[in-house]
Amino acid sequence: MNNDLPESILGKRLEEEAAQLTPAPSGLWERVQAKRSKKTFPKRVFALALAASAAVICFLIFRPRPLASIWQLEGRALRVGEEIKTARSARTLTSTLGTVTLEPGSQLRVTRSRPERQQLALDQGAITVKVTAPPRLFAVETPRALAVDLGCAYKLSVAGQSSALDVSVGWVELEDKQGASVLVPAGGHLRVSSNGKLSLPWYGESGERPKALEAYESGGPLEPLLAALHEPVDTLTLFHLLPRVSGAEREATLEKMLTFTTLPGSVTREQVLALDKKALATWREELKLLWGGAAQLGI
Amino acid sequence: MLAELLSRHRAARPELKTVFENHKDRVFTVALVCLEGDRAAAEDAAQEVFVRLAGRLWQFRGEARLTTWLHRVTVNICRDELRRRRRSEKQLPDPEPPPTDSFIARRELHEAIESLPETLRTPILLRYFHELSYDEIATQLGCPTGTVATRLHRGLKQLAKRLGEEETEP
Repeated sequence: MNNDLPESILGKRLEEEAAQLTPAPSGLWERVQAKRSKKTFPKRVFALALAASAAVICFLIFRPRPLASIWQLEGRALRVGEEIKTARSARTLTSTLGTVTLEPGSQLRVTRSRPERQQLALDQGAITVKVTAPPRLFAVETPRALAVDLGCAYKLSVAGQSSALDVSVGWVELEDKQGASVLVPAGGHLRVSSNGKLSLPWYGESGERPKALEAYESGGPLEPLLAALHEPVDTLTLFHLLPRVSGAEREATLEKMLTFTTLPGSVTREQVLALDKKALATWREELKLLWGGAAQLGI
Repeated sequence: MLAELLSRHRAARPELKTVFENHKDRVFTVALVCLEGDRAAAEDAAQEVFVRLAGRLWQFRGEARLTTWLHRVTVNICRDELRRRRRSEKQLPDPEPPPTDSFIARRELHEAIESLPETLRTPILLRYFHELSYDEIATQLGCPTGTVATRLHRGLKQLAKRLGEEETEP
């Protein structure tokens, strides 16, 4: 069926116009292609530049940023990984846990800030710590050891690879890289040598104890050290000496300890000489009362 | 699934070379008419039409829309060229001879077609410039043949009005 309408005058004119086709020039396709490639190249470069810019912007917006720590320095929150250096004057970090004063010429980093552990790293110099945190929440790394706070105030200093701990209130547990640990009470001192070895803890600022300890730890005989330890608080040094000696020296160390204190009812002499862990732990709990600071221990 | 859809889409999409071959003479002729017989300018205009088409060929899935788009873009590019010429003529008097009446009349016809609403323009282009039957136009536009007839009739009437010509009733 042909539904076509009869053509009008204008229809005829349109047909005539349509019939007057002029063939396109022969090189037109090549010209189109040439212009397309010219147009496409800058577009591709632009698209690539745009994509690269978008990637950079996304990276800047979404890049992992260091977490803010609980520590503040002069009102500014420190970020994990941030480093603080002091030149001629001390600076104090504050937090809900307490304060850490960085002495002149020191260098400190914030290494961890998590609910279960707040940790700093002392690379150089000295800090004075005063914290009231729950035990083991706060710790300070040194090049060769880790000082774990058990609720206390102390001074920690680092010189090269060696470090020194001087506890004024409460308890600090110092761990070496091999996992060995020494509990240092208020008034106690401890040194970590540049090879990472923990010294025996001792009481007293000066006098014969540190000298005798230094001599013994340098390879000297045991007797002068035992002679220098003549007070009940010296059981701190003697107790930590027990696992470091053997045979007759261990017996002599135990004898020296028993001149200041007695063994708990549940612990035998043989168990101590055999370094029975359970027996030693039981005895240490009682000795803590002697070493002082039990009320502050909280563990 | 996605690959299948993409391949279907690619299959339905016309190739530029094919479209070029089918429409190059018509585009060039319209450009030549609108640019009053200037072959070099018409070639430039036709080139620009197909370059623009290359960037949006994926949008066309049917002859009707492509045809109207090509006509509109060709006429618009030529209009722009004429405007540019008029601006430069104001600064520098044109030494070229004026176009012949034949070209002016033909250009007016294409501009009048372009001024029609799309619903009327498309049937006219398909009917007279692509020589499709009413049924074929109806298939292209997806409407009844009677609608095509009505639109053609109305389109011709509006064209005649715009061109100031007397239209005879069929």
